[in-house]
Amino acid sequence: MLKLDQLTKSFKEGFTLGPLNISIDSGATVALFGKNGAGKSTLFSVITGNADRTSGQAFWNGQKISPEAVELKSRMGYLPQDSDLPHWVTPEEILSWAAKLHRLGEDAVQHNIEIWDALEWKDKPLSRCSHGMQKRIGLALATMHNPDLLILDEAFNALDIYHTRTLENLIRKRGQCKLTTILSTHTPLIAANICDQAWIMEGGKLQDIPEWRGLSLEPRAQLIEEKFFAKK
Amino acid sequence: MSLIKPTVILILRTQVRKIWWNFEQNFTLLLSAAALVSLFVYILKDFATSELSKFSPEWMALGLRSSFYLGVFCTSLVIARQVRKILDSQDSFQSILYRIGASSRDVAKIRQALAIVGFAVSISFIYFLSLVFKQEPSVLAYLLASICYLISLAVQIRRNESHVKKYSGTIVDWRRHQLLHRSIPGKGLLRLGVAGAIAVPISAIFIKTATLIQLSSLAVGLVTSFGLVQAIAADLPNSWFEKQGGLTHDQWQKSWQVIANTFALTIATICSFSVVWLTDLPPQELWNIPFLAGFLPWLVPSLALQIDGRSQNLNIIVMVLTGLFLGTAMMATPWVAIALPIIKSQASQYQSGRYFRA
Repeated sequence: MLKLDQLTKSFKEGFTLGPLNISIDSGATVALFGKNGAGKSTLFSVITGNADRTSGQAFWNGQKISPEAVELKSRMGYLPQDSDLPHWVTPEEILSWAAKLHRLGEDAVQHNIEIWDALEWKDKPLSRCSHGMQKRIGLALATMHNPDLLILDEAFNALDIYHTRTLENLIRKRGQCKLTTILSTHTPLIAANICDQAWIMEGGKLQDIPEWRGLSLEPRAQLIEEKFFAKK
Repeated sequence: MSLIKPTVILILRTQVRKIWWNFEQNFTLLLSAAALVSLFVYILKDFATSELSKFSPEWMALGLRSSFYLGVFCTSLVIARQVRKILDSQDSFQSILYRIGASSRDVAKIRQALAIVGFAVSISFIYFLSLVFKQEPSVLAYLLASICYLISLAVQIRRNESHVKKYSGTIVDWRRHQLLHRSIPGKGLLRLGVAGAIAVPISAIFIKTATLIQLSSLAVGLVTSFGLVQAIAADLPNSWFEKQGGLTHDQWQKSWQVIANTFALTIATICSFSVVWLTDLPPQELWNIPFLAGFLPWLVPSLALQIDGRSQNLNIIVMVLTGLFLGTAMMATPWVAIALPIIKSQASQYQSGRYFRA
């Protein structure tokens, strides 16, 4: 379970994230919506231990999340929005390296190369690959070790239809295996298709959308539109 | 398992791949440049020998020694900068390591290992430089390389992102703002150019040799042109929104020409005005000082897109070759200065429209 207890992150420019008090059960697939600059990426950075909080605490399965919680972080997977990867490394190299770090075998590397369709360009430097290809390698890095908690920040951007379906299937399978996924997206239909919960981030505050759970695909997408445009 | 060995090996492999991937293009360029420089040396060998013979052996030895230590200083800084880039850039392995869950201690060990490799490369360059400048690799050289490398590695480069300026929105103001307030390498090189321009007339009081003053002015103009080349290379990847907004090639070139003219005029004025006042040398030996100092920065916008505007290293080589040929020609005869506008016009026409492909 992910639990945020009065979690706050302040910036000197004036923006403050939180205080946030939420609980997300293990196995949930959560969609996070919000305008640009609402604080979604900041929240993800704090949850994954890549940034420290100002006050409050984040817990994963009862353990405190912090930049120093190395063991905990190794059980998480995170694809940031700007997932710059080293330009002159090849997909096969970086996946092999990551597999060693996660104590996985060569078969995990080959499996990820196959599912993310990287067989033809696995020996090409990433600087010579398209943005979509780089994104797929970023996804492979984030998911190859079957993390208990997977955070995807606008992961569907730059993915073609085929690999959008691959990612959707992967996320569904994770849900069936009781692994938690939190993703941010600006595409309500994608989230409506795979997520069982939805939250909206606005001005650093989180708001649950309880009606989401009881709706089917299109009503869910419509609900998000209403939430966004309701105040106008 | 230990992260250090596989990570360091992987990083070194990516650096080698970076050089190897474009090896054909880079090698062809280097070979062409070497051929041109060799041809230049062959043609002007006698002239150079007679000019150099005017210097006393002590001055020659001092010049070689100074060049050697300057080379040691510069290579240490460049290598340290490269190591910092590998360690600290957004696309570094470090950021992935932190995301995956590597401990700070492991990441620190990897940083140390890379810093040691960089240090070894920096030291080994001393041997290469000693061959070029015919100097013995002294203890002082090793000490200088070590200190420069370590200080450059340790110093945090603070970016001036707190400066907020409301620019007028014109394409020239925007570029001037980036150049003067954001681009650290460009800023550094231009400041070096201006400082050199001030140093030239001051040193002219002591040197009293027309050739050396002319060469110094040429060098100052060259360094200034490097700053502009760097700024253009940094500008081009971000100009997609201007292209979509309807900016033409001519407008782009003219905006850079305004900035280049400012620097060319500044450098030329500082170099020439004071030299005339402060030396006893006859004016006919120093008439070409403003042209030598200013022509390279002035030519940059017309040469930047000849091959690849985004490659600052390539354009630096282009400026060096241009400076060697045209600069020394200008030292020999005044008619070259008259030909400069024709050369500029031809170069501008040749690269016409390339802004959209850059």
